[in-house]
Amino acid sequence: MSAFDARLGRRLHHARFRQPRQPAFWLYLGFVGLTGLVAIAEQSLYRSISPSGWALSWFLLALYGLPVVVVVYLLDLYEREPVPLLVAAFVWGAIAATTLSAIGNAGWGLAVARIGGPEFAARWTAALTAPFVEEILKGCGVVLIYLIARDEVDDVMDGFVYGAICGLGFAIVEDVFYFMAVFGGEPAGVLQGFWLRVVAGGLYGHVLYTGIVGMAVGVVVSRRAAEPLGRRLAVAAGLCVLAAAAHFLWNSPLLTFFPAEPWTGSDYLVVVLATAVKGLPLLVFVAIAVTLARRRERRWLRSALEAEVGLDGISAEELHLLESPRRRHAARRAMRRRAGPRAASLLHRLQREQVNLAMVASRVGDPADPALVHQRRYCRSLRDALEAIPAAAPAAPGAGPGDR
Amino acid sequence: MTRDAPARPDASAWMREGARGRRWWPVVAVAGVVLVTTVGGFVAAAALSEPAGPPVGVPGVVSVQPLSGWEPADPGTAAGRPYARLTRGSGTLVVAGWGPFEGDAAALAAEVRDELLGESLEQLSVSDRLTSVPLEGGAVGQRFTFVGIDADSGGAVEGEVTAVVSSEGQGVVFIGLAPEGLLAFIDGDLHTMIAAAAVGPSA
Repeated sequence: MSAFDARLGRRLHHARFRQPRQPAFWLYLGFVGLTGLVAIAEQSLYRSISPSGWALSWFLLALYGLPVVVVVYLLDLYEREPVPLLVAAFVWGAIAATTLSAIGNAGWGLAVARIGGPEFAARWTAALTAPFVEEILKGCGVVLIYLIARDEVDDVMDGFVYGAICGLGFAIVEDVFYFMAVFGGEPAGVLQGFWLRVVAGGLYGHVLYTGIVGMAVGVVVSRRAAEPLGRRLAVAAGLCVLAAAAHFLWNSPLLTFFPAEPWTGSDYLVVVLATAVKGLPLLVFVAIAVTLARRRERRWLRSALEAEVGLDGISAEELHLLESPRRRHAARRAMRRRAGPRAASLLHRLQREQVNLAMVASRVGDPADPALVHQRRYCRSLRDALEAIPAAAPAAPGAGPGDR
Repeated sequence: MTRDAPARPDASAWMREGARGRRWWPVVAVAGVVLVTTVGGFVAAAALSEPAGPPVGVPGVVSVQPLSGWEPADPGTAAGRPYARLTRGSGTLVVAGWGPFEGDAAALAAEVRDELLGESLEQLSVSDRLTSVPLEGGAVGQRFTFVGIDADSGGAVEGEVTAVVSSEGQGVVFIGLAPEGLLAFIDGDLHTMIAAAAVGPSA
């Protein structure tokens, strides 16, 4: 069996989104299909109102969204999430969650107005409805992604990635709505909306909220052996409350220091400060949480592979490389210079499969488990293939001093 | 050849092979959460919309049952036309008898726009189209929305007019009114009260 055949022969993950045997897959399709019709009609309406403003909105939001996607994707150090599932998370946030939230917010807004009257509702409806309605509906998307491909959400960091991408989809479509319906839809209004919602506030919104909700999902579905269900649920509930509270603060009239409109000159800088007051604390929290999650991933990788060092799958030098994304990348660059792109690509595959080796090792208890033995052999076959390439062999497993 | 990943050793029982039937309950739970979150607010709002107090209106022409939170205000007469009022905060519902009217509801709506709103509001802007509004008693009204500046207070207001002509040929006008930006927070109540209004001699 060649290395390629071996790769095909044993799939470690449900990397595909299309899972017809999973009921969650059909529920996802049903919601996205139905809400997609509404979303298309809505975008057609915006385009008819102001074609230039609508096109500018999408262009500007693409400039914002693409780097966010890249950063979030790269946050996961060892096991990058399958692109089809990330696309599914984005689509859920952009289409299903936005459309359902519009209905849900309207309904719960009626209830708030019924209870509090028009003046109270005007001040507080956005804070009392959207944080709960939107975080629940976006979170349902992350849960569905997990139910479609359970093996792919096996850590807190995975949950954050799916949640953040789902939140990004939501934020982009919501921003288009705001640019067109609230800021007037003409290019000048779109630019003003872009300044407020993206330049000033783009770091603080749905990407963070749903990233935290995704972390909560990750906490519940992983760490099963390490922590009891009650504790995991408590941590997850705390994270969800934090996300909703941050969203509540953002939407509420509390801590609002925006200058009176129309804005001129320095007002635009005040807007940046005003959004920072509401959003910066959560950004700091998420940065700390993500850093801790990455350290935890690193510790997990070492503990999972320590017993494997010296066997077929990985050497001590390779583990040293594998632990640091920067060292891994440097090793691949060095390999490309020394032995060409094919060798660099092969080294990339070897590193990826060594991460998979860690996953298999952490899942099976027995060092002689056939799945673990198989993965070790697969890694060895990749290393053999790499060392067969001229100029790759001498430094294939490790890297020169300059690469560290 | 493909096969699923081996069951995780730390997986709970329902996740393992042999528990496939239980894959359904989390999906049903997610569907339920989505459903409750999406439509639950409408159900809650409807449950909170309880009638409160005696009906108000113009005897023999129209009567409206107030919902909880709405208070009757002083009735009056404008240009010989009697009206009653309900208020909630800064929101108001005016229920007026327009008198005998030979045209249909759309013509009445146009007359209200020109005679009443046009004279009392500056910078008046009305919606392009009329919306048909069926009342529970069988009559069908025509509705439009408007924004303008109140000539007396100078404040921006928004509202909606629902015009109905009864089978006896009596014109009835409902005007919902609120400061700009607040109509959206009372229009649910307005629509509920107008839809249930009694129009005609039995009112």
